[in-house]
Amino acid sequence: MKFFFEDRPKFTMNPLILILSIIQAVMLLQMYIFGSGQSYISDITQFFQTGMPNPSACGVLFTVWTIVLALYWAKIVKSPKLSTIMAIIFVYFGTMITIGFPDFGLNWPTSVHILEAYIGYGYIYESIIKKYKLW
Amino acid sequence: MGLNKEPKNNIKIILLIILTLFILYILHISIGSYFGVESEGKYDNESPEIGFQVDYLSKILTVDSIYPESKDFYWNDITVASGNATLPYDTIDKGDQITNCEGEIKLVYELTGATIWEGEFS
Repeated sequence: MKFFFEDRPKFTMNPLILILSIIQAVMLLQMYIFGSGQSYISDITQFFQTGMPNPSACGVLFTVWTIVLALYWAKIVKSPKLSTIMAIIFVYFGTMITIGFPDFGLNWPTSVHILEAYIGYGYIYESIIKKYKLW
Repeated sequence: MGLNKEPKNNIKIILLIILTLFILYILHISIGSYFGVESEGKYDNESPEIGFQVDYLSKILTVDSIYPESKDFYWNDITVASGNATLPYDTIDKGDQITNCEGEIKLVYELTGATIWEGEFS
């Protein structure tokens, strides 16, 4: 099976956005772990039961994925398949939360999901544009 | 900044992302409430998670942390379901104190019925 994303997207995954994403994701994560850990486990469980993203699940997964994407961009991790899967998951989370949350994902801590949507969709668009020379 | 050698590509990506966010916003307005129902209204009427510092000697509960911080919660929405305590007024802020705590205190957030804090004062 051929994946789209064998070239590292340069525009969507530029260092500035990746650093910003990692900072925001880590802040989100630490807030859940050290701030109000009560709902942390139940939110993660709920995500896997219902499929509906929620802040705790997003905090953990977004942090891990963003760091892996950064490593991929820096050529430390060399797996286009892994980064493709992560981009698709970013699209899923970004879409669900921006549509489903009352604030369109604009207020902290849900503002992290605008970045998810940006990275996820941007990654896919950039790869398709470069591969197929669209437009 | 990592940019593509062909500037046209960058412009295309920006336009597509703006278009996507616009479409997402339209979907948010039109079917967003459906997701709210699916998540059992959790994010529409979310209970605050309030951390307290407990002073058993002075019988005072002091607000230590509130989540989510982006939303305002009000003491009016909290009731003392059991025991006796004097609640502050207005919005719930860090440092607010619940005084005169006596007996087995149970604080309930009325809008969701969630228990905010439970504990016993002698």
